[in-house]
Amino acid sequence: MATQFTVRFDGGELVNGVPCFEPGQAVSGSVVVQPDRSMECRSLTVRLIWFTEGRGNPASDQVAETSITQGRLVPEMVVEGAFQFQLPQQPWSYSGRLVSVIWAIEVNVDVPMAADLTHRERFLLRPRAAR
Amino acid sequence: MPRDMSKVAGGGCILLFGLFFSTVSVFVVSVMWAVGAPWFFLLFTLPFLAVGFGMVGIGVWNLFLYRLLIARAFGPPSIELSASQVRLGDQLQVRFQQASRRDQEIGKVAIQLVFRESATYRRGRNTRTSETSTVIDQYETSGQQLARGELLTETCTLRVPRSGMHSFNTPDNALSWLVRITVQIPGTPDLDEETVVNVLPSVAADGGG
Repeated sequence: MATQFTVRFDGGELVNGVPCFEPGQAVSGSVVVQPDRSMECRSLTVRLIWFTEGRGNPASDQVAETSITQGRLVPEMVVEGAFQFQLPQQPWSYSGRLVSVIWAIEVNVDVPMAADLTHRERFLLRPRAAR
Repeated sequence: MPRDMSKVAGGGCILLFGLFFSTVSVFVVSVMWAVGAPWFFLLFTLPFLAVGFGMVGIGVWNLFLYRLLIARAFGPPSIELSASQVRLGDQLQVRFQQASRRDQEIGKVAIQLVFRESATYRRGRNTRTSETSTVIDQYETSGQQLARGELLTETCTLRVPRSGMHSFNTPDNALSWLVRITVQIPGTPDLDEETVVNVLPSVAADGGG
């Protein structure tokens, strides 16, 4: 069993099952991390990011970040935290043939001397008037 | 890079590489000929010569011949937009003018609003760019007769859809809006001009400007 990540959004209109937020709106929610083994955690952070997908070399940007905890994580322990970020005006979410722009909340566990554990939960950033 | 510059750069690269490739191929054929190599060795080099000369031909066409033929038919184009940046849902007025340098009959004139996705990626040691363009709105006229010195003038209104995507640009990914104008000229390559429109991440109110 792998480390379990759960991200819940507060609000957001569902578009094809994905929460959709307006540019400039606040996006908030909670994260739950359930480790599958004991590990040292330099930091458990939640980030607001966008990145591109498609044929081109990827581009990405981290817009904001909040730290949830640090220290030792053990399997019996469930780590919970809340996040709230102000969304920028752009770029809007887009899905095309060659280029897609994806918004996500990224949960990152920084483990010393090992690969980070990362989970991304996608959402849409697009004004209602343009849907 | 503007499309015109990218055509020049592409044509220049093809021409230089073609010249190098042709020179090497001709040198190899000359050496084979001089040492009396069997005929099938010479036959083997023919495709290389053809590729080299073909690249030179494409480079010369892109860099010189195409421009020369267009310049014989028309003067420099003028494309005026009502705004250099618009919102989604806005209308865009386009005015295109170009002086005819000879008496001539032209075919269809098309003014199109185009949305283009461009993606640059590495494959092995090469960097490549893929593009896909979608015509979102367009205006067309049928053929007409132009006298020498007469101005070809077309005006139209194009609309950026409210449900579109704003302009977006990273070093290797781009979502661009363009006004593309093509003029069919019998016996000459089509005139093809483009100008970029910046579409802002904003939606016009109903019936936008």
